[in-house]
Amino acid sequence: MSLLAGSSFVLITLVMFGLMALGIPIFVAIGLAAFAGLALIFGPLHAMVDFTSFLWQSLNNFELVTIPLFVLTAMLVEESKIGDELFACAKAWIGSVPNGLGVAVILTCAIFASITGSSPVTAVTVGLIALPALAREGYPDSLRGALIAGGGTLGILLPPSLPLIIYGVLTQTSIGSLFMATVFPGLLLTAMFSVYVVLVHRPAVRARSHSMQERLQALWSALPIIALPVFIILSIYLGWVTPTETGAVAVAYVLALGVMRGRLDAARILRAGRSAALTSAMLLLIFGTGSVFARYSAMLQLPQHIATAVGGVPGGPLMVFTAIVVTDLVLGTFLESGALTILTIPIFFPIAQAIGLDPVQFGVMIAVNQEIAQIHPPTGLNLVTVSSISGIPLTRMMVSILPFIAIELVMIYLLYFFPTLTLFLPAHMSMH
Amino acid sequence: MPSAEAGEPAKGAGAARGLTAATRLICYFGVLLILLLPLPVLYETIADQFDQPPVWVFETTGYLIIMIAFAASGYGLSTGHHFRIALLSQKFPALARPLATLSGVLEALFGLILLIAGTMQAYGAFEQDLRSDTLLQVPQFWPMLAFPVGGLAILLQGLSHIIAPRVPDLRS
Repeated sequence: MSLLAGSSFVLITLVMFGLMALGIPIFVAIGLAAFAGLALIFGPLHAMVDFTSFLWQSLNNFELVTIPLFVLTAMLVEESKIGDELFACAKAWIGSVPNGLGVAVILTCAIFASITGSSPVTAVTVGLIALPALAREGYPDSLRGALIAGGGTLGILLPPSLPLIIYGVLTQTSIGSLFMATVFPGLLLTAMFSVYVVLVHRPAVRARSHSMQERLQALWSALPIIALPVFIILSIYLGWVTPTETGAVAVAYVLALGVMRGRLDAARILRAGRSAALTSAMLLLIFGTGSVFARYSAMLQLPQHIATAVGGVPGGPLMVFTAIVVTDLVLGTFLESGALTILTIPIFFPIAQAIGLDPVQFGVMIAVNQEIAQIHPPTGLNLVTVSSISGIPLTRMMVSILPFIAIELVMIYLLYFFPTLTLFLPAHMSMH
Repeated sequence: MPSAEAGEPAKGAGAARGLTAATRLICYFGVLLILLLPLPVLYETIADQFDQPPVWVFETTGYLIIMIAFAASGYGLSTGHHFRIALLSQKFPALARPLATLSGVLEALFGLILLIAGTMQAYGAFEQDLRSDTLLQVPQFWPMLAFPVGGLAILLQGLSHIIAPRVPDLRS
């Protein structure tokens, strides 16, 4: 890479982040930067040809179809309000243990995340149901907000994680393997969050105990919803269907469930379709423009140069990995998780390979890292979202969210030192 | 998904409202497509179980997601579905309006680039009668129209935001 090309890349990247900081939509900032970069190399006319050509190549991909399908599932779930039954079931079964309602929130978030694949959707939907219930039981505002924001992050990790789909397409890693790799870490994280919640609040809050009949009724009501994540994970693990096909089945299932329960009518379906189209457009445009930017950086052989340079860094792989974690965290505080993935993975992935990390293991670690970014004060998206739906000031959650961040940091290094946690299931799954 | 920008609705300028209405209309094409998207994939899922995966599904759904992305792109700028960092506007309210205008200018610029580049690409495909490699032999001109249409929607919405800047009040 010549000095001039290197300098222009640095300048364009700085301008891109500058535009983002000024409040320009992220896909516009990335798109203009990518176009400017191509124009500097080829001239404006040729850059136009390459820009649309690269956009076309990056977006015309069957695996990307998974994104709008799961986004549509999430919107239909949100419209059909099936989270109510889920929370009622978790409350009936666990509410009476010490701080059980908090644990119920975490479990509801985990199951909900396994349907929607989206962290903000999980935080909003579970938050609207659970925040008032938690307040009634005497949970302080700071803990209520932190519970929802922290639990909501499971949406990034558990399948069908949208950032992991983007990661899979970018790095040509099997999305099915990535989904399977998140199951143990996701369950472990859910358990760690739950143990923390049981221990955190003293005196412990106990909700009223439910009779076995009430519990069974709640379970019966929630069973069709609980069945969906089980189907998603099992069908991919057993190789019945591909992740994209699972997305279509999930849409049909939620649609049927919502209509049968009288929760979905034409207007609600149309509203879900509108939200899904707009959200998918946001994700796909970030992916498309980000891919063009990645192609521009690849033309300058930047990822290889960085990977080579990083190879000589003292401290070995652990130090390099920690540098990735810190950089990703800092950027993730300001960037949406899809944009973060598309901008950083072309740089980080060759580095991760150079230090011997498995692509599947690295993908899951990056997902956990992005979970932290979602709740990182002062601007983590989940914190802002929970604050906006609950009216709890951000400042009140800033301390209570720290234990959730600490647990996730522990998880990242557990995944680093014990690759089996991520690689066991993918190694034993049937490939479709 | 929560709105990424809970700004004031565009008001004041009838022209701005008209431009937003045009992008909304384009967006509804994307809404229709996303509601139809599961159907071919479901068909493929069933056919796949009988070891007869229909190749046309892989091709057409690829085109569909490009059309969805670009059809809904412009209107998403007015509903706040596109992520942006509004921290600066929040910390310095006096800057909010000029920054919103700058955002409109850059949105319009990006839309214009996409409109021109997309038109060149689609016209090239039409002129050379480019077709897909599959049995369907789809003329590439049609799906490639998604780019100029999306560019037009982004351009119109950008112009609307120049006329009536949207001042965001939430970072996402």
